Amino acid sequence: MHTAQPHKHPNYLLIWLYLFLLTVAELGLAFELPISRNMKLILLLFLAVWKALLVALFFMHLKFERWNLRILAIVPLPLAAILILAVITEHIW
Amino acid sequence: MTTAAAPHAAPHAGHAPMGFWRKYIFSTDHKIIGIQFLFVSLFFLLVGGFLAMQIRWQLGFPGRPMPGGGILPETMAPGGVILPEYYIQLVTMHGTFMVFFAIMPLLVGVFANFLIPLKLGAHDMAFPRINMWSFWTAFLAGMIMLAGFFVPDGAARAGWTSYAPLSARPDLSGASYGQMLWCISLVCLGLSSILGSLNYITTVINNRAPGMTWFRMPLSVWALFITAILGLLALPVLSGAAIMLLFDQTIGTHFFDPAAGGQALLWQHLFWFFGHPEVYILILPAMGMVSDIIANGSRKPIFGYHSMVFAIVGIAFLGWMVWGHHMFVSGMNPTLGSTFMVSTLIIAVPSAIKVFNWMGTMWRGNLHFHVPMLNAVGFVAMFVIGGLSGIYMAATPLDMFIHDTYFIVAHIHYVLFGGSLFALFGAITYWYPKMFGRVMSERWGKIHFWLTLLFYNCTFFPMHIYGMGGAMRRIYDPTQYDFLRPYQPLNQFITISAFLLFATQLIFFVNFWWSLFKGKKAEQNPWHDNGLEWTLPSPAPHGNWERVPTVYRGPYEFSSPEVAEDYLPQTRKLPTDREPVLAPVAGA
Amino acid sequence: MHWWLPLKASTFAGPIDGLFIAILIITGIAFVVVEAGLIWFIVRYRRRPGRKAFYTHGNARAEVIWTAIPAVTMVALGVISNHYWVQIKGRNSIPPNAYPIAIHAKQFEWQITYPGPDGRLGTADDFTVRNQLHVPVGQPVVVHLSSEDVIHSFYVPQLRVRQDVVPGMDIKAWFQATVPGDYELACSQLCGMGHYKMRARVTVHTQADFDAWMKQAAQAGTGGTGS
Repeated sequence: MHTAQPHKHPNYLLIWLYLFLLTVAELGLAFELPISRNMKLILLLFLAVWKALLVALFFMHLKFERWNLRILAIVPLPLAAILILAVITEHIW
Repeated sequence: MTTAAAPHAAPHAGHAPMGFWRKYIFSTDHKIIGIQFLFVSLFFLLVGGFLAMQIRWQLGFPGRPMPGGGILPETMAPGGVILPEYYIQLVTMHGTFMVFFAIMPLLVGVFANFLIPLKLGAHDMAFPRINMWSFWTAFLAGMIMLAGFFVPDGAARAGWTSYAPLSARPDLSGASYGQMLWCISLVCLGLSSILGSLNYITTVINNRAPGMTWFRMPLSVWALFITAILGLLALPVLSGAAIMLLFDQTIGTHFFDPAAGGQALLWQHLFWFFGHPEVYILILPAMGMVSDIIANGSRKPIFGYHSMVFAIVGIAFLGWMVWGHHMFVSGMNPTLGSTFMVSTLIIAVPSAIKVFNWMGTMWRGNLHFHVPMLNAVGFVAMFVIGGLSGIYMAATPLDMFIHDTYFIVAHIHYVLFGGSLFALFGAITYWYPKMFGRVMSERWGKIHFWLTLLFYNCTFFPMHIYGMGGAMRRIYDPTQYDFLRPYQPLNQFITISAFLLFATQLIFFVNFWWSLFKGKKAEQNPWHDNGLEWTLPSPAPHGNWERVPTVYRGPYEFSSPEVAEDYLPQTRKLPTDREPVLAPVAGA
Repeated sequence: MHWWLPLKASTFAGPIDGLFIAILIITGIAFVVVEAGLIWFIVRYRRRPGRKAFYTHGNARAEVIWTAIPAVTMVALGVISNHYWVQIKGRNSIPPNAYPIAIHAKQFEWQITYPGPDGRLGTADDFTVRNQLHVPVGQPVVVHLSSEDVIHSFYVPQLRVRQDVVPGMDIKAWFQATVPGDYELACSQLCGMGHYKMRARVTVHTQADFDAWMKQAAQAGTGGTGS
């Protein structure tokens, strides 16, 4: 139905190692760094998004797919946003 | 050598003859996998039924020793008398087994697997090996869940909805390993569902035969396709929540425990964000298959095919935005309650559209009441009651009164039993010839239908009355309450009807198993249907087609003026038909 | 045995039962139309030799009609329902003169704290009673709900009041009883092994009887821990 661009196979093991290192960074940041809680949250969110992008681009192959498949992968994000919004309004109330 | 359950292997390119284990146990053939799901899920349906019988015994005859209850251990029912802690295990595990291990795999595991490649003209699923893993992880999940009854302290007992912090704190629930196994089992099942969904979605998008455009697909396939999308997006939320709960139970996190900064309501939001799409997973495939069967039984095209597709998509889409209606009295922000009320009332509309279109299909038809048609019309008649009772709950002030009463239990069972299960009885009977090469007994199928319809209504309709009276759910002994004691005769009536209902299902089970070996051999197209699967022998051979067929029309061309017969298969080429323009198809 | 909703004993019962009847009428009509229609079709269109079915793929006008009518009905229902929902659960809907009672739920009992003669909670003359809820008739009452352990649910069928009690949250629910009598409070959210017997007596007194009970109970300082 659609062909990906011809590309060199990414080294999946290397990507996995990369994710592992990012996870170690997250744990170190959460338990060891003497910074404020809000700062920690922001940094952890940043790292989580970084990992998600690695998974999406390489393990989900989206870096090499056409634009329409990338759009498809983004489609559920509004649903996640609705859930998060609902839970946040709870907390505020 | 053929056992009744085996499709005989037709000559198929590129396959060495396989041994018994590769062919029937670790098979990658979508039809075998579908049948594996069928056998295992029917077993869990029985398990769920046995648990229900014990619940009904306690409610009808509280505190009296159960016949045969002596075999249960002292921790559950000393002298056959059910203990309160065992009762809440029964209630929890009945719901859990029925939702996750009976209805869901019967609808999706069986029919998505069996029907999708056959109805689309494919040799198999896009990913046959992933398909095999999907079955075995589901099987493993079922064994893990069953194990709950055999571990110290017994099975999970926080309801099938497992609300925290009760489910997170063994010191408060009394269940330790059992509650953990519940979480682990569901993570496993989630994996199975996700793997399955990947396969179904990819196969539907990529592996359709030439001429099988989107709007020539049967409604069963549309429904299974949309259901697969729901599953793909919803199950990860359940798995995530279950893992969080497992961490709370084991490694000292406090996601849901307010005593340490967690939020009890977070579990409910996560669970129901999954849980509401889940219930549409439990009904949409049934609706799709009922459409196929009613068109066939009416010898008429489905009325409003495009509307039916849009209704399925509409239900699935709106289904993401109604989860809060399970939480109206939970302490949730009341403004959120208002928004969920609106979305919940709106979602009634596409379901209503479907009911009217089924009626439109039967209108001015030439109705053949074979067993699948009986069950399909029964589905419509009973699902309507379940759907209408939902409107009472959608009206939020009224839900304040009805929530957590037997009115809800009545609603659940009207949509799941009156809806999904009747559809399943019809669907299993309908595709049995293609699965096993034999037909089930028509006579016993009719007897089973009518007796089930009678005892089922006697069991579940009175629960509306019981709920209106204010009777709470999950209560071990309702006679503790003055206002409930007068309802005991009603409880006894329900219990006896439930026993008769359960006994009647033995007719279906015997018919099913006996016909595997002694049933009449099936012809290729016993129902005179138009779908692609009916162009194959009964049972369908490994690999399905030697050469992929070409499709010239939709699946519902019954009583067409173009031909003398009252059906016109999708693959039959008429002189006026043109060959489809072929787009490149991957992996056909 | 009662075949209908319980006795109407609060100001909420009128609107809630009215909604029930309205929905009963709407769903009743839909039920009759569908079921009678099905039965009629089953009889009228059953197969007969030599007959052919009417070949049609649908009717756009029918689709519009049977989409519009349910949609309009549902929207109307939503508007009416929301009006009462805000009245009952809205944070700003609690009457300012509502009589406060604190209810602390725990496995498996209700600890009910009364404000005592000064009418205010959190003062020295408060006293706590187990499993007995006393309220005066014709007077708004607001219950301050809290939980010791797991989620419970405060539920009195005749008063048509239900509110989950969530650990970590302080939730207020209000009602106004209209009929004196003896009722029951049931826990309505599975809370463990003893959930089925988490029951309290509810007594709706005339104002005079309530004052008398209050005086006697405050002096006795009956049972349970302090608030």
